[in-house]
Amino acid sequence: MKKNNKNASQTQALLPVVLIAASVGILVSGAFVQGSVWPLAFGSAALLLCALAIHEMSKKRQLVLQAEIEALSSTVNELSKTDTEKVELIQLADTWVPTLNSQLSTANSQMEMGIVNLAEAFSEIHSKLNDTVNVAAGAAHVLGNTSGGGNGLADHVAQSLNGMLSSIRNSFDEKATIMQEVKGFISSTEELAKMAASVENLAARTNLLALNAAIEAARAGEDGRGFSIVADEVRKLSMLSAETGVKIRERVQLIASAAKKAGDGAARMESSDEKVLSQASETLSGVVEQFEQVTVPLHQASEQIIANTNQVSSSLNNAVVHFQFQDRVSQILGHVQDSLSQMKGQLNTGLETLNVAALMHELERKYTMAEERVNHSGKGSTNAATKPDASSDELTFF
Amino acid sequence: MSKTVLIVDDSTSLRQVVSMTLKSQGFDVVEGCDGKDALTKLDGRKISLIVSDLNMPNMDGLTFVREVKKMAAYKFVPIIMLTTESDDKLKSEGQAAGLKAWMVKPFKPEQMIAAVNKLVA
Repeated sequence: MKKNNKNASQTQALLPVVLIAASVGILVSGAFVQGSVWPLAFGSAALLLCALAIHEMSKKRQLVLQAEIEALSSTVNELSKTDTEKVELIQLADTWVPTLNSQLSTANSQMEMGIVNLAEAFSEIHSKLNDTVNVAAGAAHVLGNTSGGGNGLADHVAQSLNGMLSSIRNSFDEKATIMQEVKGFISSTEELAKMAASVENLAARTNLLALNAAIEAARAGEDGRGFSIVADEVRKLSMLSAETGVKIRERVQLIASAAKKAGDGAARMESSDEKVLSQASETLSGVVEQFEQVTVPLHQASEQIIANTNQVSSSLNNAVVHFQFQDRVSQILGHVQDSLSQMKGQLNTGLETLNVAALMHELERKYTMAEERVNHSGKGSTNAATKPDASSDELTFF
Repeated sequence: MSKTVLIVDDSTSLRQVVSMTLKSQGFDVVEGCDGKDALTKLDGRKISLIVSDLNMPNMDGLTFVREVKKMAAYKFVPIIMLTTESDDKLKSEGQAAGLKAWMVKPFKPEQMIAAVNKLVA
C-alpha cells in the first residue's frame, strides 16, 4: 500500500513535466504540418496540456503551502500553549497558593479554637471534680476513718453517748456516797437527841438542886440571904438550860426526820437508778446502731464518689495528652503553609526560578517532629507517619 | 501561699493544657504567647518556675532563656523547655543557656507535675 502511494506520488510529481514536454512536442510537430487545420489542433492540445501541467503544479504548491500552514499552526498552537501555562502558573501563584494557605490557616485556627474551648471545658470539669473530691473526702473523713475502714462518726457518737452514760453512772455513784453520809448523819442526830435529853435531865436536876438550896438558904435566915440569891440564879439558869435542851431536841428531831425522809427517798431511787442506767444503755446502743445504718452507706457512698472521681480525673489527664495533638497538627500545617508561600515567591519571579530542591531543603530545615522527617524521607509506613507519639516520655534533667 | 509558674507557648491550647495540669496541683499560672511577651509578664512578679516552648514567633525559647538568665531577679528561676524537638544538639544549647530540664511534647501530666515539683522543691 505504502509502495503504491510512493509510486503514485512520484507519478504525480513527474506528471507536469511530462505534460509540458508533450505540449512542446505537439507544437513542434504542428510547425512541420503548415497550411492545414492541424497547427490549430496541435496548439490547442499543447495549451490544454500546459493548463493541465499548471494545474498539477498549483495543486502541488497548494499541498506544500497547506503543510506549511499546518506546521505554522502547530507552532502557533505550541506557543499559545506555553503562554497558557505561564498564565496558569501566575494564577497558581496569585490565587491557588494563597487560597490553599487561607484554607489551611482557617482550618488551623478553627481547630485551635475548638481545642481551646474543649480544653476550657475540660479544665472546668477538672476543677469541679477536684472540688467534689475534696467535699467527698471531707465527708468521708467525718463519716469514717477511710484508712482504717471504720465508721468514724458513729464511733464518735457512740463514744460520746457512752461518755455521757458514764457521767450519769458516776453521778449516781456520788449520790450513793452522799446517801451514805446522810445515813451517818441520821445516826448522829439520834446521838444529838440523846445529848439534848441529857441536857434537859441535867437542867431538871440542877433546878431541883437550886430549889433545895433556896429552901436551905431561907432556913439560914439573914445569913442565907446571899446564898438564896445564888440559888435563885442557878435555878433560872437550869430552867434556861432545860428550855435550850428542849429546843435542841426539837431541832434534832426535825433534822433527823428530814434526813430520814431523804434517806428513804435515796434508797428508793437507788434501786430505780440501776434500771434507768440499764434502759439508757440499751437505748444508746439502739441509737448508735440506727445511726450506723445511716452513716455506713453514706461513708461507703463518699468513698465510691472519691474512687469514681479519681478515675474520671485520670481519664481527663489522658485526654490532656491527646489535646496536645492540636499543637503538633498546627506546626505541621504551619510548615506546609510556609513552604507554599516560598513556592509562591519563586513562581512570582518566573518559572525558571522554581527550585524544588531548595523548597524541599527549606521545608526539611523547619521540621520539629519525627513524623515530619519520616514523611519527608518517604521511608515511613503510612501509619507510622500519620500516627503521633501517644506520649514521648522523654524528660531530661540537666 | 501558692507558687506561680510562667507558661510560654505560642499555642493557646498547649498553654491551656499546661495551665490546667499545674492549676490542679495548686499552682498559680501566668501565660506568655512568645518569648518577648513572656519577658513583659515577669515585671517584678515572683515566679517559682518557667515552662517554655522552643519554636515561637518574635522571640524563640532559647533566646528567651538567655534573656531571663541575664536578669538578676530571675537568673536562678528553674526553666523547663517543653518542645516537640528532641535533637541532642538543641538540648546541649539549652543546657548551656541555663535550662534545668528538657521535656518533649506531648507530655504526660503526671510527668510534668513530678518535674515541676522536683524543681520548685
